[in-house]
Amino acid sequence: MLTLKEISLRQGKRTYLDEVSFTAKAGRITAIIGTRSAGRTELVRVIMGLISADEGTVKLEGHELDFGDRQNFGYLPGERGGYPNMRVIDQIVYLARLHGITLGAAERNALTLLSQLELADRGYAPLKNLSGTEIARVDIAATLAADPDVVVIDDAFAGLDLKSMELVMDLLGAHAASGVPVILATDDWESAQKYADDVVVLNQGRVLAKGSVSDLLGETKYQVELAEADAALRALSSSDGISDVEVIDTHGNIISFRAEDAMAAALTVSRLGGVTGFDRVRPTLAEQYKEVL
Amino acid sequence: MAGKDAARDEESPEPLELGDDPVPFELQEETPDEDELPETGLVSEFVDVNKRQAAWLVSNRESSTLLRSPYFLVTGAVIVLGILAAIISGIVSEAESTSGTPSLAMVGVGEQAAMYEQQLNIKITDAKDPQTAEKLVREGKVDAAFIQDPTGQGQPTIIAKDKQPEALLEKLAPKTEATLLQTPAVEEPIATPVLWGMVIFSLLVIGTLGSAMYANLRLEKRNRITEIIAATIPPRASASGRITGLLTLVVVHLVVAAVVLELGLSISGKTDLAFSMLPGLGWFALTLLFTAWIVFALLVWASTLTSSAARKTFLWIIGVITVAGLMAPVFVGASGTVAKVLSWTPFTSPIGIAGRYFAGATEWWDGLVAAGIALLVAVIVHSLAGSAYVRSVLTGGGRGGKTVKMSKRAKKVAAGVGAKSDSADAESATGSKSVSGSEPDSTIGAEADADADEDVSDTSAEDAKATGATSVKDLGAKKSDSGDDTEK
Repeated sequence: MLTLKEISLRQGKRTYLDEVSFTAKAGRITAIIGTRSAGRTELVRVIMGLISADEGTVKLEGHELDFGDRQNFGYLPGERGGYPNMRVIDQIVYLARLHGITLGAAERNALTLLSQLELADRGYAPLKNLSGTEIARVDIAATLAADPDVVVIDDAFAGLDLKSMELVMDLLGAHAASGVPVILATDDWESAQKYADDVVVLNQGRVLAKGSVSDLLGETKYQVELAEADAALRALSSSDGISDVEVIDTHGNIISFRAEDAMAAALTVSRLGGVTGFDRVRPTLAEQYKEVL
Repeated sequence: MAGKDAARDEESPEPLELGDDPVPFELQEETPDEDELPETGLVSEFVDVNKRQAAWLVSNRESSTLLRSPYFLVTGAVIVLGILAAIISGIVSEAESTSGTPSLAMVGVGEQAAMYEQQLNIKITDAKDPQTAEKLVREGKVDAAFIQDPTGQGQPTIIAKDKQPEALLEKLAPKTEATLLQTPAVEEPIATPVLWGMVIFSLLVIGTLGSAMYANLRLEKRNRITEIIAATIPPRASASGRITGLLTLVVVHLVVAAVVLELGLSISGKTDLAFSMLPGLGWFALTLLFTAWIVFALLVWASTLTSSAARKTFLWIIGVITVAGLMAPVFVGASGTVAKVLSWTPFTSPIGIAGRYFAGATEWWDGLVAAGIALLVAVIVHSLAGSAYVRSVLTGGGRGGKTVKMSKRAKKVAAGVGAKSDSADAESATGSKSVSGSEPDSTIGAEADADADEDVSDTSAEDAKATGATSVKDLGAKKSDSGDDTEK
């Protein structure tokens, strides 16, 4: 469990991070999402000890991290790449060995990861011969090769196509399941919603919202499209025997309303006349926060 | 089929009863418990990595990568071929110079010169006095001079410049030894080309290895591998590792060059020359190693600068100092105070000290002083470069080299905010960005991202405070109030 408490980072008048607190739980994937200037990269750097926060603490299992305590953190910065002329396997082994893992274990892990990421046949090629998505997968392999205690990936979905993303997220999911906090920083709201367990929404250096994805998703609403909206609206608003329905808004002939559950919504709609459409809507994270961001 | 199965069941022996005895430890198969297998399929076997080991890992990668690079191989081949070519051309030129008729200067020999030439089969040059004869020897116009004792009482002497004129002495009876006017360790006609060879060798080694290291450092900064390394091992160990890795390769070059040179000289029958060159070569090697250390440390330092213009200037200065420093002692020569100072000063000391040892113009401690000063400067520059590297990694975020691109992005963000907001602050922020162009002055991590942050936070810092702590429920309420968030 990695806990950040009231992290603030300033320089002069600039405020990069303002009292950011959250916990990345072991066994779960935590996504830090926000716009490009939200302070994600700064936060990632603070977690990795590359920048000292002005205030606040970063703790792993209750132990406050100092410089040098992150040797077995798997870290991947936003830019992808590596050593173009170095062989893929050498690169993974080299970066893994910096963590202190033995040569044999590093080589074995490199081969395992390359196989899991469907790059087994590219292991002995120089990195420059690989495609962009392959390089992105190699970077992920290099991040995980030392079997890190914490995984921190900035711009997590950068350079990955759909298939690669599935492979990578399966791998990260397995790693998280082994009892490791996995932290992904991204501006890809859809992917974060799809793959993360918990989410921290950053806005201009402040935590806008945090919690599990299901908790942070928007409230489920029901939309009904009617031939005569005014009459229907009157019928709905008068709560004609249906007290658990509440109208949220109207947009032309479309009425949005809140209901206790789908059954109650369907029952309500069945009593209305001239219904031309009915839908259940749950705003995504991006839809939920785009107005504020 | 069913019948067959039934028959097989009947024929099959009873399962072997193993009893309750445990399987002996020696016979137990080493199959790990499935529950104990890692879910990730990865192995965790760790050793403690201290600073030195971390530096070694970086050093090993740096040197092994360069060892395989064409730069290193071509440089090595050029050095070996150059030394061999120099030795062969030396043999040829010496053979040409010794194949001619020996020449002798004699004082006041007059018309008898022709007679002596016939008798001895040598070339006689008539000199009017002993000083003129000595001058002819010093200028290399004759192999030796025959000087009579002015009193007529003593034996005549034969003087030669800096080596025994064997071909001439063999023709004289009784055979005698010539008195040498100069006794340098290495003759000047040999020393000067050798020194130029050393200059070229030094520039090749430092140039190729240094440029490869610098390119690698910039690559690591661009791809932010620097950050990965810094998050894992102490950044100072990373900086030291790459310098020591390259110094190892300098040593490899030096050893190869020295072995080829000494072996080549020995095989070509110049063992005396090989031995007389050894002290000069030894001190050259040591001082060059320390000079290379200084240059590599300076290159690490240069790579940490954020501004491209500053980096170029720094590199230009390093290049000029290195080239001029290595060449200057050859022009200055081996004698005089300037030569002495140059032989002690870093950058000039490799060639300077070698030149003075070749000329035999050194004290026993000269080499120690030159090597000591170079080592001291190398340690100081290394320390400063290491600190600059640490600062660059831990506070610069490794973003150097991306400023232009990032600034464009920052400008874009600022423009977006400016369009959304009517705030005058936003407009001024955007404007100043477009005027200032590119170089952010931040020393905190993300130079450009931070710029973008500033643009956004400047424009709506108050809004951020207002909305920052908004809960999801509050947000929902706000959205309901606004009444326009419905999307199908």
